Formats: sequence, structure tokens, C-alpha cells
Amino acid sequence: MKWLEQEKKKLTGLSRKAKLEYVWQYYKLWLIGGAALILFGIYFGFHLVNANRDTHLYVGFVNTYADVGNDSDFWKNYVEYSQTDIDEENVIFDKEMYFDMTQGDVRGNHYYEKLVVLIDSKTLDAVVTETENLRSLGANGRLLDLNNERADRFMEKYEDRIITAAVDQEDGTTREVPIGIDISDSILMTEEDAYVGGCAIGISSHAEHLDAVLEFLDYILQE
Amino acid sequence: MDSVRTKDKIVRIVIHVILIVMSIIMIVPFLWMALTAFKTVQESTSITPFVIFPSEWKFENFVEVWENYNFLILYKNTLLMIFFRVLCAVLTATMAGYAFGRLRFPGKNFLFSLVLIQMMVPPQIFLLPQYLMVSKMGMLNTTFALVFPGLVSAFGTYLLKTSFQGLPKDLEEAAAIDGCNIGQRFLLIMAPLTRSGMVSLGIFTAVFAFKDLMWPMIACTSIETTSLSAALAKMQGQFAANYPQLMAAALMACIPMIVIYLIFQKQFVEGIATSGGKL
Repeated sequence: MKWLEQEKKKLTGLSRKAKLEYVWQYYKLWLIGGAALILFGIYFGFHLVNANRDTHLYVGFVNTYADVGNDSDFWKNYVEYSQTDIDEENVIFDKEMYFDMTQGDVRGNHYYEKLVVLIDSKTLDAVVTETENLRSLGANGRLLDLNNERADRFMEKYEDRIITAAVDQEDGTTREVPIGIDISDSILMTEEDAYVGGCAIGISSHAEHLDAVLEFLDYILQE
Repeated sequence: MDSVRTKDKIVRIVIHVILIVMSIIMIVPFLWMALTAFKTVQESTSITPFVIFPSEWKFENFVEVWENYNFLILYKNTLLMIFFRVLCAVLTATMAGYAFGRLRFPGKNFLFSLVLIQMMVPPQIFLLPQYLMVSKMGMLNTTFALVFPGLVSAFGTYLLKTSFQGLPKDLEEAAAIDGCNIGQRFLLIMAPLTRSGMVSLGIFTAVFAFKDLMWPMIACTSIETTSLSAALAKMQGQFAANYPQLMAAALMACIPMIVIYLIFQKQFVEGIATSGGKL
């Protein structure tokens, strides 16, 4: 407070311009820093209030050049089908993923690392890719074991479409585990030409929107 | 005497030939990119005959890419990301470098070893926690998300700590005798003397921010908010078979870095010489 009184004393008797010059001369860094902090606070608060929407469904499409990403007709039709209010909830169809696990180790592939981050952060709900690629992905534990009680509804409804992967066990053996659902006859193949030679969908091991995944399956497998 | 001169000449010629060959090897991919950007799709994929120069220079490739992707927004996003990453990295690293290099406080060595550990682990380790933090803050698909991993720099802290340690103690002591407090000593005396270190850090941060593909691809999936590098990856999906448009986009994406390099050419060279690093 002593400092404040001293500064006030210095300013008394000075013209308005001189006062401003004095403050700018000695406190410009503080002023710039303070203004930047306030601006950042407003920007941060605005996004905190407006941008934090829930996700209805996040699907990753691996190795497709078809127009099935966000804002495509395929995406719009799903939004309409699921009657999702996109002002309230996000529907994300992410097709920027390209890797082929059947060709060997994909560690270091940016797209694969992106997928891992999305799965581990519980962001991604399902992944669609070629059947063999999905098997390889399932074999390293990234996909939900459909024997799990969380996936009961999928097993019941799509029992005849189940795809398995050979998953390594702790005792060194391998076991066939159901990790995906064959969707080779879906609109992804018949209308969108998204894949050549068949495709399948797997549910992320940490998926949080299983109802939406089921709805998505209904959508792509509709007659 | 003559034989020595001849030998010198031969050595010089050999060195020049090696350097010219190396230069050609380095410049050919860039030239190929530039030339392909003006070709037709057929010319770009033709092997027999192999087409080097386009029969007709197709500027339409640039126009189409410009129209399909809003490059102005991509330039803006990328430049904002570079600017704020450089600003934040230099600010925080300078302060941390001063603290680690000049001050004495309990736990200093332990804290600095934590900083060093960050440099020793693969950057992928940080992706998940950083993504979760940005996601929980609701800041995905924003400029803040692009800047976030560059808010602090372990390498910068190390670099600036070394710079501060290299300064004579007398300067700081003289300033203290003259009545400068710790903030004034840092801001008015010591920090300006580490300008070359700051410039090096700024250049490294700018180049790495520009090249960063992984983080923008994860944190900013929308084309309106992402950076040039991630947008190029998106285009790779869209223009998989259209190499001329892909190359036109790549050429356009190089422009900000070329402009930055031309403006700060001297500092680039000095920065690399000062830090001993490579870009």
C-alpha cells in the first residue's frame, strides 16, 4: 500500500497525458500482461460455456476414401435417422485414419496412434474397417470382447454376423474372441462403396455410447 | 608447390561435387512437388514416358484446392498456433531457465530432473493426458487446443538455463547493489542478455509447431480449426489419386514457413549455430 501511495503522490499535479505516459512507461508490461489475461479469460470462458457439448456417437472409419465423414450425406442421413439435435450433441464420423495392421507393425503410424488415443480416452465408440484389419486390431485388445455383459444386446441381435480374433492369453495360448460384427452388406458397401471386399465394425473397449452404436448398426444395416 | 596446388584443387572439386550432388538430392523432392502441382493427373502418374515438365501449366489445381479448402483460415490457424506457441514457450522457458540457472531454492535439482525426464520419454506418452485435459476443458477444436502442448517447453527450459548459467555473476550482483529486486534483475538485466537463446528457442518452436501433425490431427478434427499439416493429411484422403492437387496444396502450405524463413533468415542461422541443433 505504501507503494500505491507513493505512486499516487507522483501522479498528482501531472496533466492527464503525462499521467498516461508515466503509467505506460513504468507499467506497460503489467498492462499488456493483464489485458492478455483478461482476453484469455473471456475466450476460455466463452468456449467453456459454449463448446462443451456431449457426444452422441464417435465412429472412426479406417482406410476409406468414400465420402462418409462429417457433413457428408451419409452423416446427415444418420443424424436425421437418430434424430440427434446437433446443437446439443456431437455426432462425429472421423475418416482420417489410414493404417493396415495386416501388413505388420503400425506403431509410429500417426493415424494408428490417433486411434489409440481416441480409444483410451473413451472418446471413440466404434471403428469400421476391412474385416482382416479389424481382426488384427481386435487381437491386440483395443476392441470390446462381445462376450462381455456390456455387449449382450449386440450378441443377441447380430449373433450370425460375429467376427472373431485370436487374442493372446496370459498362459501363452490364443483364444478366439468375438470382437466385431460383419457389415459387408450394409449401405456402407452397397451405396457408399466405402470398402472393397467387405468390412466390419468393432466396438471400442472403452466405448461409452453403446446405445448409439446399436442405433448406428440399425442405420447402416437397414433394408 | 604446383603439385600441392593441384592436390588442393582436386580436393576442392571433389568436395564441391559431393556438395552439389547432396544439394540435388535434397532439392529434387521439392522440385518434384512444385512441378507436379502444375501437371495433369495423367502426367503426374505417367512412368513411360516419365514427365518432368508439364505440357501445359495447370494453375487450376491451385484454384480448385483454394476453393475446396479455405486456405485463409488454415493460414490463420497455423500462424496463430506458431505465434502463441513461440510466445508461451519463450515466456515460460525464460522464467524457468532463470530460476533453474540463477536462483537457489529447495528441491531445485529434483525439479530440474523432472524437466529433463520430459525430454527423455517419447512425446506420444503425453498425447493421452493432454487430449484428456483439453477434452475435459471443452476446448477441442479451438486455437487453444492447437497451442496447448506448446505452452511449456522442457527443451526450452534446458536451453535457457544453460544460457543464464553462462552469464557472469557480477552483472546480477551489480544490479542488486544498485537496488534492483529479483524481478528487475531478471527482466531488465539478465533476460535481455539471453536474447540469442530465446531466438533459438523461438525458431525451434516455430518449426516444430509448423511440422506438428499428430496433435492437430487428434485435437482439431474440424477443417475450420485445424492446422495446415493436419489439413494436408485430410486432403491426402480426399485427393488420394489426384497428386497434382495434393502437391498444389502442399506447395501452398509451405508458403508461411518460407516467408518466416526469409524474414528471419539471419536469426535462423544464428539460432542453429547457438544451440547446435538441427531443424
